[in-house]
Parts: sequence; structure tokens; C-alpha cells
Amino acid sequence: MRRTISIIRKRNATICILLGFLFATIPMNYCMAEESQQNEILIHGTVTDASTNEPLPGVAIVAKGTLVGTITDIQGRYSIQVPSGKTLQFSYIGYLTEEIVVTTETEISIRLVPDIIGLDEVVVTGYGVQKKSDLTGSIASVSSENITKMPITGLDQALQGMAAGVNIIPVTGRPGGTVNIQIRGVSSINGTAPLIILDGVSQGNDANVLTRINPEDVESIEVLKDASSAAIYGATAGNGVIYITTKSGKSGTLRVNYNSYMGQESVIKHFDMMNSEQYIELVDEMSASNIPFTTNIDTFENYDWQDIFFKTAITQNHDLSVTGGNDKSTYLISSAYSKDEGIIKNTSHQRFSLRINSGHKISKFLTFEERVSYMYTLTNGFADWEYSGYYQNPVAPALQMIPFQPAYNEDGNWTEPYGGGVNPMVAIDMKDNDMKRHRLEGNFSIIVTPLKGLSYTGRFSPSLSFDDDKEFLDEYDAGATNKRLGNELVQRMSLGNSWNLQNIVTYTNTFHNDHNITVMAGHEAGRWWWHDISGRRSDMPSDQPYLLYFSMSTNDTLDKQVVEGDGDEGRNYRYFGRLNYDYKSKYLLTVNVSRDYASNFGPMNRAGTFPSFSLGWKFTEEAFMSNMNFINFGKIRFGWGQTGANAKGGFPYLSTVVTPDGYMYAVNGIVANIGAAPDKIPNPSLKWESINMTNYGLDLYMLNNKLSLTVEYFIKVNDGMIMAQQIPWHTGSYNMTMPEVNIGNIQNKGFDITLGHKNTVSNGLKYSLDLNVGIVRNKVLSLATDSLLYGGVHNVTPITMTSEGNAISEFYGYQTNGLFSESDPFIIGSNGKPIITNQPYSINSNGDTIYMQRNAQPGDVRYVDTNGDGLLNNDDKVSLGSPLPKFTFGFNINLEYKMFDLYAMFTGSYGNKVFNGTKQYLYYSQGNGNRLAAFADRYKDEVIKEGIVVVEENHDTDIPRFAADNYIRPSNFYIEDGSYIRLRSLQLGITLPKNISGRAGIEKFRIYFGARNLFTLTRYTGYDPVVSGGGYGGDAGAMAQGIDIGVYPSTRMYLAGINLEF
Amino acid sequence: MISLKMKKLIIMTMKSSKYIIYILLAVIIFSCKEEFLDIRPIAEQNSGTFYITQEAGEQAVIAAYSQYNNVSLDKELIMLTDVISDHAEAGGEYVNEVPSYENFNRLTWLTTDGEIDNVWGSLYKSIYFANTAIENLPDIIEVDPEADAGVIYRLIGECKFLRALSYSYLVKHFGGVPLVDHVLGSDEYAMARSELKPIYDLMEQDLLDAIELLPERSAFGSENIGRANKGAAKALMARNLLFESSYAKYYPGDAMFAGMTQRWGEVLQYAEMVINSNEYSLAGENGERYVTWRNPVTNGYRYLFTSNGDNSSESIYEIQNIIDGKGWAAARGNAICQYSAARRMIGSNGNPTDTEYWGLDLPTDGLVNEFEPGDPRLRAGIAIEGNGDSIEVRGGLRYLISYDQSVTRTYCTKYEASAAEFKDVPNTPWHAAPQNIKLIRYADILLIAAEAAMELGQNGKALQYINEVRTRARLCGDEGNTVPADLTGTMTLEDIVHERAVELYLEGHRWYDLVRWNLATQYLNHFTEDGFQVIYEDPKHRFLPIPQDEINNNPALEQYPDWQF
Repeated sequence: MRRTISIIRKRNATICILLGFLFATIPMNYCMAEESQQNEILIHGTVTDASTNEPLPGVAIVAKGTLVGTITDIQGRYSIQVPSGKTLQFSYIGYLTEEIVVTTETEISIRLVPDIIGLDEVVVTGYGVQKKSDLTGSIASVSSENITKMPITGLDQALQGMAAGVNIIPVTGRPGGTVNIQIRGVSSINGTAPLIILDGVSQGNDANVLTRINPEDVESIEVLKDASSAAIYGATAGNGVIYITTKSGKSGTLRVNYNSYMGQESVIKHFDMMNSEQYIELVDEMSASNIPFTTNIDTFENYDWQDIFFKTAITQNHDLSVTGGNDKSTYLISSAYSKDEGIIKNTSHQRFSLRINSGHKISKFLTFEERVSYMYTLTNGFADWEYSGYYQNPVAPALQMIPFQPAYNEDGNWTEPYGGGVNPMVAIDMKDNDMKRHRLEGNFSIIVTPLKGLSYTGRFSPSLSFDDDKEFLDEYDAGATNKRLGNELVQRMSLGNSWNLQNIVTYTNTFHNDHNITVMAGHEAGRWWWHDISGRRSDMPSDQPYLLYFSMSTNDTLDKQVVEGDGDEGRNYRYFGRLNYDYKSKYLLTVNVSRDYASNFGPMNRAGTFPSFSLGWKFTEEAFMSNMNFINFGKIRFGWGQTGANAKGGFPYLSTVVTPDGYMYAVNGIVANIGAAPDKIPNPSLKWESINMTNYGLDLYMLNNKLSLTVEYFIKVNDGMIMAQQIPWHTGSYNMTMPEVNIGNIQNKGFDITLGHKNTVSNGLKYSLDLNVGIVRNKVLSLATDSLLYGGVHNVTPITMTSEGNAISEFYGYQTNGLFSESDPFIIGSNGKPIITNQPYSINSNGDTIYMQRNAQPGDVRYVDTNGDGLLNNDDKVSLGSPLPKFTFGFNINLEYKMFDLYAMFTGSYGNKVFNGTKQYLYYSQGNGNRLAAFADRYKDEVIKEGIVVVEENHDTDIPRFAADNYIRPSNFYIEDGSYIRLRSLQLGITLPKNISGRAGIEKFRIYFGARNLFTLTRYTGYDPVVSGGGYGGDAGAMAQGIDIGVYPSTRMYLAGINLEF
Repeated sequence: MISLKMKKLIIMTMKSSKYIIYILLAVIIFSCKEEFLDIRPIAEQNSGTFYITQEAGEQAVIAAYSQYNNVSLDKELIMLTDVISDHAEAGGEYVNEVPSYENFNRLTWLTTDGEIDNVWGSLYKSIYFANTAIENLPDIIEVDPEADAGVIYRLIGECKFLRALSYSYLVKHFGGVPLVDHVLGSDEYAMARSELKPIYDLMEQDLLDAIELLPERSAFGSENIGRANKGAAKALMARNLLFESSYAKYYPGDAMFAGMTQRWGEVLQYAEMVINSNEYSLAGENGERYVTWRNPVTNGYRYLFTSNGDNSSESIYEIQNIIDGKGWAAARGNAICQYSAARRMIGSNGNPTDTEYWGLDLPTDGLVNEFEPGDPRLRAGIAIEGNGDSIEVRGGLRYLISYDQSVTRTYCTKYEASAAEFKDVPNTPWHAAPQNIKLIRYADILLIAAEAAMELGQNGKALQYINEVRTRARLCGDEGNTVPADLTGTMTLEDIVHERAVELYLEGHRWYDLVRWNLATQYLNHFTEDGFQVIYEDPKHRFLPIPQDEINNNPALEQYPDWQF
């Protein structure tokens, strides 16, 4: 009974299962009616906020010991018929519960005091909910208030810094670009993508879901961090679960919300590049000619290519929602539009979404709910993969453009870069690429509550997705080496659908007053399928968009028309169950089990069982704690569980049968027959990665609940990571792709710490401070036989190495030890050139002394002979540190004072290394590219050409001489500390007092001003220390973390916005 | 007396019972069977779904054949063993130009030399493809109503032959190796060496099956001339039995050859089955001349090694090589021409210049001196300084060979191809010469029969078979040539050693033969042309070591003690 009420109390009861519980009160009410022989009194009144005196709609009012209840309307009013002598209980989320004994009064108005801690909040646990105070697993919860506090275009931005141990890293700064999410470290080389659940339905391990949902539609986000919580999702939950709940309609009169902001974005960091004078000095140094580049350096212009290349972008975001309903039906209709222009020309990202959520009580036993949404995004410009390398990525070539050259000639044509190369504005100006994504999702539930405590939910969730990409490659002529002859139209369309069906039965009861039990059992099945078709045609007669259709191509030759396609399908089903038991709400037990079946593994490994349990003890409920007044609430928790992760797509236990030319053979000695054979040795026993996690937790609320502390310690081990194994050739694997096996073993250990302080100062100042810290230590315990895994991005590879005993994906390269100098001792070698002798050497078979860097000159880098063999080779490469932070943190400040509110959020990381690939690229560009200004301070010898000093001597420096070997070797020269603190979000809001706004019929009028990424404290010299590296495809990311190749940089935004409520 | 509470419960249950039924119904309807997951991968052919038609089965078998004209295998099967033997030097522009080949020449090879990987890896890959086909073919009869069971069984026979052929080369190169007779699962990746005997037993059973399932060459028809046939299976059986018998005879009590027995009678029986099948004859055995790209009057022995001699009457099993201008990946040619043909010529300006060929596999003095003076077979395959041999290069131009970069002052010419069919064909890569590689030819079977007859004391038969070979050789000479003359008297092992040397030279037999006769110590201890003292250590050099990568990746596999570091 108490349990039921506590759930009713939740205002944001959007979860369908909850509605089942809510509905359960009705038959109970019915059956209790016979007992109510006493006089009934009709009581009415208003419920207001004790601090603001504003009415509180949706407050649950229950006559204790009965099932009679109601909720307040939009004006905070209620009426209820109760027997006299009963106690009325007023409960509302975020407020302390009040109880009043009914005597003879007919009007009872109550002022509820805000509960600054919210232990009674209900959190989603997956196919169910639980009071926060009763939780035994590790679940972080982010509410809608926190989500909408900052200007965001995607939910991914809302999560960063909000929960301890949850680290979200954008792959590029591109609007709408992909993100990497790490919950409690990196457990696999195959990626860390958590399972995303939207309104109870799995969206797969696809972080992109977060970027397409309208943040305003979200009621709450729960992060199921430990295995004892996540194991209910079994095989796909190994990297944690992010559970998103959208808002439900609210009964009462129609309410309209309008939120909007406009912002101005610009690139955060401006690189100091060499100016024309410094650049020409370099040209003179590089050139073998005896003639100076110029004798009149003052006539050269200085163009700042970053100003040419980047622009200020306008971002706008609009949300409009309508909600209302009565005691039978509620609805919410919400739509949103956002446009982010992008700081590079011809790039932008737009999102439109429409959502209709409603719930209907059909009968006393039956409730129906639906959630239908349509989401559309349009991305213009470069696709993610086009940022994945130095060369195709448009940013790095722009940085190295010649400082004395403008982008365009006087006739408007592109300039040809001095000394060759490509004018990056060509690629940008010519970019004409639209990527459209349509997605229609439905979620239909029936909730049946036939008996007290028993509820059934049936849910059907179909989805339809449609991609429509169109790129026009127009012909152009930007000089001899940079032109496209003839145009080409490329189109791709992809159609996908999926459905998911769930049956969940839940039974709750209390036995002998003290034994509370909830049992849940369910079944779920799903199928997804997609196919795509793409093609290209040449010779379009016009570049007019209305003529860019394949029918217009004037070239019908076969090699000018290409059609390709692909498809895939997957199916799965699962059974799952949970038991929650507590004794006097003091000793808590949760047991989960799920059995999962998936089509993509072989018959012997299609099924997996994923068990978990957790225990809790609220020690402050014990008698011996009753004197410890400074601790209001204390609980210790322990949990263990097993989950699965990273089931590969397709059918990884099989191998593709291919028919390459190499498998052909001429059995008649004249013409070759086609041969068909597998392209690898299949591993029929491939299965899910198995992730085991143990979690210890302590929750404390102290000092009259004003201070809260949660400390958790976890050990997470991936036992059976999927990796390619070098298998013996006797299997037939010679010159083939090696099969994947479940062999690797990776461990993450760490702490999640959350510290909160909330207070209301008597003069009306309310504030809260929240700090969360995630500490993780990563270690590779084992890999497949004899394997070292190398990772990298594009041509920065290999730069990471994963090996046993170290953290995953540590940077790996040469150690440097300063520069050779002109004061070093030397001898004259046989070729007449000096050889510096204070360096390691080896003795060759002839007995000669061979110095390690025998061609080294003063100004060259001294590499360290780490293995002491006197040779400089791959064996000297060592670990140069880990891209994984020692800890990450978020710090939130909320202040409210009268009409003002202030929000600030800091995020940061400590102890992670970044490979500054931009520095490598911009110190040693290929060809004649411009360099970073710091490179002007390199070690130089004086160069005189025709009597003019064209290069001035500079020996007092630690920047090496201009020579390939000093710059192309991956070394600690490029490894930098990636620690940072960033003010990610700052916002000041002003809410007009209701007596003013109310005159215009406006319930709430708030304007706000804010900034995103206002400042960053870091020693990192590249664009952004928040680098996730090369995970453009998702999977490669785990072994290419922290590699910065200077792609789409992150931006700073200033914005102003408005919230209106009618 | 029913309590009030109970009554209420009953009323409530009655009112809601239809919903309970709905719930139960829903759970029953929607509970899944595992068949729900039985879907076929879409948009790709897959090892789980591909093998359902006869055509698929045929293609699977083609893939097993195809590994033999892979650049990683064909040249190693011939040249590597030549170079290990005393009959060829590594060659090249200078000594050690190809260090690994020089290692084999000096018997100082390393366990990391890539050629060892090539032989091991490619042969096992062919075995994998054969096993895949053998496992999937029988089901095709069940699932493809159009399938012709006769064809399917024949295809199985071909795969059994190919599997035996691959093992026959594996055991000759490596001795005991892991015995893989099915597609391995992931729990079988660690696998120890098998003794030799079980591998010979597997080959014997495979060949018995193949003999049963395969048609004779003539019944197969020219459209299937390159497929394994009954004669090929019998010939390989004879050759395997020869090795078993030789090991048993010449290494009595040697643990490496435990279980081997002398089965000379069966050697002779299988060889005679081939001989008496009337399917095969020696090319030029009656003094015929043939039209080839070399010459319209090419003698039978030389004809055999031109592309014109592909699939001749003497062919029992050969790797089919063709040139179809398909570029690198296709490579359905042999790499031996490019590797071995003369590297230098006297160019049009009269100076030595490069030919585009690499000139490895140089015939040694030892080989040249083995020939009886006047034996026409010498000049049919070996160019010697002063003999005026020429070479054809691009454009069909022919120049005198220059020996300025040949340490032996010789070149192997057995595998030359014409420019018109090789270098002048567009898109033809260097590793794709057109002529077939003769893995089993009739002359070899005659010599095997002769050796077995000798061992059995059937001297008359032995002389008859060896003299058939010598007669053909003699008839390849100019009119009136009398060398080599027919042997008379009691045939000895020396006669066999000699005849196999001069008939089968530089075809990859010598090292295997010397090892099986336990004569390697006698012949392989020699000085190379550049003065390197080659030392044959027994048993270290009987077989190649297992590739180092294989030792690293297969914890159950042990290297030969002599090759352990």
C-alpha cells in the first residue's frame, strides 16, 4: 500500500507501468467501499509552495489507510470525499510529504515545503520503477529540469558532466555529429556504446539516438551504470544503459509552452600560424636555390586563413508544446525545430521533430497509451567520415594555406596555392551534399490491472526509418592539378523498419506488514531490417537542383552508371524477470535474470543467461543509529551482475563466401571457372562479450538532508572480449582475415563519487551545488595468443598499442631527449661528414662502431635508445601515456533568488594524454604548407643567399631543425596533457513575477542569457582537449582515443532565449 | 463459510477474469520459438547458406584447385626444392640477391623465411577448401533436386584427390604435420603434429575413394582435362607408396618414419594400373616432332614444357595455367618462368643487358655432369655458356643469352614462355606464365614402376620401364642419336638415381628423392659455385622446420629439436 502511494506521488509518472499501478487504485477503491460505513466529509482546499506561495498542480492526496485519492488541478485545488478521522496525506515530488488528520473542517489548504533532497523520487529501473531510497544498484538520474537548464541541441550534451562515471565525447564539433559515450571506462576494443532505451523500447547500442530526440520532450534520463541494474537488459547492456523517458500529458486545462533561443557560434581556438615573413624564411631554408625567394618582403600581404575559412554561425532553436486533458485522457503535443549553421561554409544541421503522447483510461481495468514521434534531420556538407583523415578533412589543409595568398583571385576564381597543393575553399565551395534522415516511431501500450497489485503491460513499438542522401559533384577548374571534368550525381536511399513487442506482468504485495515483494516477469521480441540502394550518374545537363535527377543524365554508357546496394536483418527475443524484496524497507534485495536469444550468433551460442543481484541495508533505520542526528539517511549497497556486449552485426560466426579472381581455375585448360570459398575461418562459437561487474555503494544524507554523498566502488571485467585471433594456418587461414574469438580480458576499476549540497537561505536565496567525479583505472588482463593491437587514425598509425598489463590503447612511440647541439663532440665519418659521438652506438659484424643517429646534426632530435641496443628502431617505442583520464568530473551550480536564476556547469578531466596530430601536421606538413607560428622558433642555421641573410641563426631553442626524421616519428614530442576544466554552460535567467506576466495571460515569462564553452583551462595546445579520436565508424574508436587530427573544432556560443507558458 | 474478504476476492476475480485470460493468451501467443531466429543472412552468400546447389558445389571444388596456381605455391613446389637440392643454385643478379632463396641453397634457412610460410599456408588452405567442399557436397544431393548425384560424388572424388595431393607435398616438405581432415572449430586451433603414418593412411583412403569415384582421363573428356581423374589418383597412390616403402627401407627403426612398411608390390601394382590403362604415353616416344612456339620441329621432351605441351598424352596431373589478361589478382599462370628464365642477354647493341626475367634456379655443374654426353634432355632444359642458346623477349625478339650474371654460367630454360603468350599480352603480371606445371607425368610413373620392380627383383620389368624413358630421350635427339642407350644387365639403385636426375631435373623431385633414399648426406654436402660449404645434417635437413608464426600461434605444435632456438 505504501508502495503504491509513493508511486502515485510521482508527478512525472510517465512510465506506462506506473500508470498501471496508478490505475490499480480504482478497483481497490471499489472493493473498500463496503467498509466505509462512517460519515464521509467532502474536503476541498488549495496546495501551494511554502516558499513561493504558488499553487502546486498535480499534488497527490490520499486518505491514509484507504485507497481514496485525488490530485490537485492546475490551480492547485482539490476536493476529496473521505471518512472523518482519516489522515490525509499530501505528496508531491520534490516536496516533503504532509499529513493532516481530518476532523470536521471542510477546507484544508496546505503549504508544502520543498524537499531539497528527493529521496522519495522514483527512478526507472528498466521494466519498472523504484524509489531512490530503495535502490540497491547504481543508477544515476537526470531530470528534465536539469536537461533544459542549458541550451543544447542534443541529449548527448545534456548528459556530459551530469553523472559520475559517464563520459561523453563528441567525435567532431560538427553539428549533429556522432558522440562516443563511455560509462565506467572502456571495456572493449569494440566500442563502449551503451544500450539506449526510449520509453521502454531498445534503440540498440547507438549513441546517435541521443542527437535526434528533442531534449524538450524528455522527462528524465536514467543511466544504469552497474551490472546489477543493467542485467535486466542482458546481452546488450554490458556498456551500461541510458534510459530515456519522454514527457506525458498533464491533466487540467490546456497549457502551452514555448521555448526559443538564438545563439551565435564561433570557433573557440585560433591557431597562431606563421606570417608571410616567417613563411618565406622557411621557403628559403627549404629551397636549394641560391636565389632568395624575395628581396622585398614588405610587399607581401598577410591573410589569416582561419578568418577566411571559419565563419560566425547562427544557431536557433524553437520548441512548442501543448498539454492538457482530464481524468480520462491526457495528451502532449510537442514540436521542435533547430538549425545550427556550422562554422564552416556549406555545413549545417537542422532538426525537426513532432511528438504526440497521450494516455486514456478505457475502463477501470484498462489503460491505453501511445507515443508517436516523427524526427527529421537534414545535414548539409561533409559527412562524418570526411573528417576522418588529414587530407579529405577540410580543416587541416586550410590551416596550412600560404599566408600571402588570398583564397580567391580578383576574377573570383580560386587561387592555386604557391608550390602546389589544393586550395581548401574549393572543396568547401563545391560541397553540395544533403543527408536527410526521417524516422517515425510508435509506442503503443495497454496496461491491464485486474487484481490488486497485479498489472500487465503489453507494448508494441514499430519504427520506420528512411535515409535520403544526395550529393552533386559539379565540375570545376581550380588549376592544373585540381579540377573535376564532368559532373556526377550520387544518391543513396535506405529504408529500415523494426518492431518490438513486449509483455510484462508485475505483481506487488506486502505480507505480514513488513515483507514487501514485487515480482516482474516479461517477454520481449524484436526484428529489424534495412536495405539500401545507391547509384551514380554522370553528365547532368545543369546544376539546377530541380534538374538533379538521374533521368536527366545525358550519359548512358555503362561505366558512367553505377548501382550498388546492401541489406541486413536481425532478430532477437528474451525472457526476463525480477524480484524486489524488502523487509521493513530496511533490508533490500533485488534479483534480476534475463535470458537473451539473438539471430546473429551460431546455433550453439544464440542464447545467453545474464543474472544479477544486489543487496542494500538502510543502517540509519536501525535503533543504534537513532542518536546519530547528523546523518539523516544512510544505506550501504552491494551488487553483482553479468551482462553481454558488442554482439557484432551480421552473422559473425559465419564467413562470407566470395568468388574472387584468385579462386578461379581453368579445368579445361582454356577458360577459368569461378571458384567460391569462405573469406575467413568462421568461428561458430563466437558469442557476446561477457561483462561482470561488482558494485559497492554508500549513500549518505546529512545535516538535515542538505548534504548528500554517494560513493561507489566498482570492478568491471570484460571476460571474453571479441578480437581477431592470429590462428594457425593449418586451419586454412593463410592470407585470410583472421576469425574473431572471445578471448580478451579487460578490467576497469574505479570510484563514482557524487556530492550534493542544497539549501534555502532565509532571504529567499535557494542554491544547490553538485559535484560528481568518476575515477577509472583500466588494465588489459589478457589478449589472444601473442597479440598486440595497434590503433591509429588515418596516417597517424600505429600510434596506440594495446598490450597485456597496460591500459587499453596507450600511446606508443619514441622518447625524445632534447636536441643535438653544436657543442656535442663529433668525429668525421668516412663520407667526410661529422658524426656526433655522445650518443648510443652498436658494433657491427666488421667490428665498426655504428652510432645510432649517425646522420644527426645539431638541432636534430635525440631519440632515446630505450632498449639499450644502440639501434633506433621499432623496438625502442615505449608507452607514452594513456588517453584515458585518471578522473573526469562535473560541477553544477544552481542559484535562485527572487526573479533571478543562475546556472553554471563545469566539466573536466584529469590525467589523460592527447596525441596532438595537428601539431605534427602543422610542423611537418607535406610540401609547402604553412606552419604553426611556434615553428618559426625552430633550430636554424644562418642562410645567406646573394648576400642577403634569408634565414637567421637560431640555436637557442627546443624546437628541432627542419628535417623529416625530427617530425615524422611518433614521439612524446606530440603527446600533451589533455587535462582541462571547462565552463560548459552558463545561464542567467529572469522570470517576470506572475502578477506582471499574468496580466498578459502569461503563466510564466522568463528570458535568459547564456554561453556555451565560455572558457577552458588547459595546457593542451591543439583545438580542443576533448578529443575522441578516430571513432567515426564507432568501432575503431576504442583503439584510437585521444588522437587529435584537427577536425571540425568545437565552438563557443553566446545566446539569448525565452521561455513562455500560457 | 466463506469470509467476506474471500467473497470480495471472488467477485473481483470474476470481473477481471477476462483480462487475466487476455494476459495469459498474450504471453502464450508471443512466446518465441528458436526458429524465429533461423534467418538467412541477406545481401551476401555465406558459409552457412551457400552450399545448396550443384553449381555452388562445383565452385567450391574449383576454389580447392585454384590454390595451386597461386603465386605463393606453384614456384615454391618446384623451385624451392630444386634450390635446396644439389642441382640448382639460388641465382639472381648476385649471390644473396634473394637472401631467403640463398638460405635454402645453403641449407641455412630460417624458420621465418617466407617461402616456408607459403608452402605450409597455401597447402593447408587448399586442404581447407577441399574439406569445406567435402563436408558440404553430400548435403547438396539432399537439398538441390536438380543435383546430379553422379557429378556430386565425382566432385567429392576430386576433393579427396586434392587433399591427398596437398598432404603429399606437406609431408615431403615438413614430415609429420597436424592432420586436418575436416573444417576446424575454434577449439581445434591448437593441434599437435601427427606422426607420418596416419597422414599416409588418410592419403591412402582418400586416394582409394578418388580411384573409386573418378573417371578415367578419356572418359572425362577435354572439357575437364584439368580435373583430377582416376589415373592421377592411382599415380599419386603409387608415388605415396614409393615414399612409404623407401622410408621403411632406407631408415629402418627411425622413429620419424615409424609405421612405414615396404610395400613395393603395391607400388608396382598401382604404377602398372596407370601404365596398363592405355590412357597415357610418353610424348615423342616414337620420335615425333611437335609444332611449338619454340620451333615447328620441337622434340617430345622439350615440347612437354612448352604451353603447347600442356595436357599432352604424358600428362597425369598438372596445374592448369592460363593467361586471360585479367591482371594481378587472377594470376592463373605460373611464376616459375619469371623466376627462372635467363636474366641476361646479348642485346641489340651487342652488350649484355637485362631480359626482364630473374634467372633464379640455376643448374649446377653437378647436374650438367650427370648427363651422359649427348643426352638430348640436357639442352632441352638447360642453357650453358657456349651452346648458343637464345631467349625470347618482348616483341617476340630473340637474343643470345648472356651468362655474365650467372655464377654457374648456366640458366634453366625448361619453363620459358614466348613473348607472344606472356610478356606481350596486356595486363599479364609477372607471375602468370602460361604453361602448366607438370606435377605428375607418365615418365615419373614409369621410373617409379622401374624402381619398384627393381626392389622386387623383377629386373626384366625394371629394365623395360626405365628403357621406355631412355628410348624417348634418345629419340628426342638428332637422327642417328644413340644416347642414352638402353640399359642392360642388372638394374641398380644408381641407375634409378641417375635416370630420375636426368629425366625429372629441376621439376622439384631431387631433394625429396635424396631424402627418401637416405642419400642426401652423400649428395647435398657440396660447395656452391661461390664456394660456400653446404653441410647436410641428418635429420635436421630432411624436412623444413615449421614456420615460426605457426609455432607462435599454435601452442600445441612443437618445432623439430634441431630448429628450436
